[in-house]
Amino acid sequence: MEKFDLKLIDEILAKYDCDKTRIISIMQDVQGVYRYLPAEVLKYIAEKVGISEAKIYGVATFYGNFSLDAKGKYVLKVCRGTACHVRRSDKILEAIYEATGLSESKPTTDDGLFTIETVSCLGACGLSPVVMVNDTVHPQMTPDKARALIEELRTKED
Amino acid sequence: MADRKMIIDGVECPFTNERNVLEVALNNGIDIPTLCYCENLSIYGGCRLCLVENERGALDAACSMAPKDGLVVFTHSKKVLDSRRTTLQLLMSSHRADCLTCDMSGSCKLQAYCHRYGVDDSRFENNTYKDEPKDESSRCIVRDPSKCILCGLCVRMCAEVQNIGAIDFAKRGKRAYVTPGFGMSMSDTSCVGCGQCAAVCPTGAITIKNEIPKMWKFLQDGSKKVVVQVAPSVRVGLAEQFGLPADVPVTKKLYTALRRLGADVVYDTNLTADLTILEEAQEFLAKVKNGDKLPMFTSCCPGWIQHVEHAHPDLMPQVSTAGSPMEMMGALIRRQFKDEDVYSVAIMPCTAKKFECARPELVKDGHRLIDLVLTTQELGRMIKEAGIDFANLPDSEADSPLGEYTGAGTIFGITGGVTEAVIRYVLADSSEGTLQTIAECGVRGLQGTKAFEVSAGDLKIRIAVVNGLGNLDKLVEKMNAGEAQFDFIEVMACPNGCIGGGGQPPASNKRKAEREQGLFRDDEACEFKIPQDNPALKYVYDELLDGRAHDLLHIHYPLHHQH
Repeated sequence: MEKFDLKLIDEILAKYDCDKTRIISIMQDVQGVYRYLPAEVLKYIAEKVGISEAKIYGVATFYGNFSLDAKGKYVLKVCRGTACHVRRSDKILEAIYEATGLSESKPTTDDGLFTIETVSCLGACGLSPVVMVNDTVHPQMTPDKARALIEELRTKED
Repeated sequence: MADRKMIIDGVECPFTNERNVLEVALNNGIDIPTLCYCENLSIYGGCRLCLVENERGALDAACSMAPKDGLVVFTHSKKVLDSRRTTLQLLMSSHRADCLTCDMSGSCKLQAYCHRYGVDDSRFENNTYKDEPKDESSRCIVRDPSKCILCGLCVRMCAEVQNIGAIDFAKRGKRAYVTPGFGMSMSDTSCVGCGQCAAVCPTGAITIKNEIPKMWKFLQDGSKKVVVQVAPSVRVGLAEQFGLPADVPVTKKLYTALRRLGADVVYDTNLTADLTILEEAQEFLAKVKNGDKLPMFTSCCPGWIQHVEHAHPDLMPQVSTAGSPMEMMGALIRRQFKDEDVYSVAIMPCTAKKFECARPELVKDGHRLIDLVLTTQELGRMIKEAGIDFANLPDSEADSPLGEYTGAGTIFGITGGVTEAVIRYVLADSSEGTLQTIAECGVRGLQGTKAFEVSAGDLKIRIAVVNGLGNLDKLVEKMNAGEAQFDFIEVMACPNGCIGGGGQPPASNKRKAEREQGLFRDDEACEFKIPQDNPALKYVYDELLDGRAHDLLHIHYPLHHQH
């Protein structure tokens, strides 16, 4: 547990009165902090709000938006919604997978830099095809622009 | 209100306080199939097998439909039967149907319904069952996700009745499965091994750890004697497997069956139930005298002991150190056969005993007190395997000197039985009037929590009797809030006590009430009613224990030492 700041989690719990019926909000806030749900933190929360570990695991795995795996510094969300799809977002995804060496079954790079996710719609169909990097929207992407984007983010780190 | 009626299949069906149409039908002799419904759990409506047709031709789940005066439903119309068949076919399409070798074959509800409704699995390609390895980490139960139909009965049993929640659903849709959290195996969870999940599982997804082969090995190994003990409630649970009434104990046939299987010596755990009372009651009276912290909790239920360790470690010092009757009989067997190495086997209504017998605390003088625990269900299967016509077996007696018991020992199998036996010991009066007064003091009855007071001379004892760990947790909460105070608390993990144990053949509430009556009948048939009258105990204390009663009959779990 040393890795995680329990004070921070206690604050989140206090914000929701440690109420088990608000477990999803609690988990969203925790994911807001760590960008994923560490198992140790979930077990701590389960004990505090009074639900079983199996139950909180069930909630965490029910919703696609929750992740139990640590994510990279840059989370790339490639939109696979209808509008992006007809504008060939599959090619963009392919290019990004290739540039990062990732795949659907291995979404995060070993150096912890990139996580690639697909989303059903980002609600920005007018800008399609869209890729989001953390909170920044990158509109009208092409495979070339995607490769350049990965390169740019990489150089920024060096 | 009494004359409310609904019309099921054209027949007037009166109802009173039934929760739903399914219960009304069952109470009126109409068996609607269901895989996710249990009378003791919340309603889920997940299996869709109990669909019935209403007057407008719509299908609805009978388990989720409130009974209404004049309501008309049909339970075997074409629409209903077609829907049932499709549902079963879909269930079969994601079920690993190894029915020939499955432990549940013959008692599987899915198998029975497929047979009843003429379903084979040929309609949908069977390729979607969860091909995950079995979880055999628990000493008590085995989980096989490839046979799970997601009815959620185990999940609800564990959470609602036992308040443990060791398993729950994970993921969703076609990826959903039942699992402990975070990829843990059963032995890593707070599972207490009560086996109630296996008792409600309609398929072979959760089964009792099968140790029949080990027992056959013992019986066939001619080099060592096999000494068997039989727990109180086995004598009313075993009948289920042979179509016999539950309210008539089969004790003496049971002894004969064990000998026919090859047991060399048959003892009765009821004798050490008497012994447990002596040790436990004396410990209680000493605590009262010394002004030690009360309440004192009983200690014979291994599921409860594990629950203390997981959930209430601070209560352990208040848990009696008296060993369970099984443990005590194990200790006596090792003393009785001091110069001889024997296999010590216990027939128990309980899956958690399988864990208890392997605990390091149950090793004395370098020997495990119990080598193997078989459940009532496993014994029943062995009797069938050996081709023994159980119903027509002749009677026989348990072996001397550890076969004699009093009525106080035999009622251990019912919730409240331990407490009633303790009261009998404390009052030390076996006159009919006193026994009657004790029986009527509030100790009897199958409800989850009972609280009452008993006077013994100047001593007023405030008693609670609890079954189901969820009820216990609620009681502890009340005590911590200062809303209730007790001197003595009996806890049994399984609903209704050992008669409803996880190792017993699964039974309805009605059937469990018959088992209760069976043990009371056994009590009535006993010559002696109070534990201290057991004539064998003199031999036990003077010859066998020889001054080592405390050392051999008491168990100190790690948490006893810590505090």
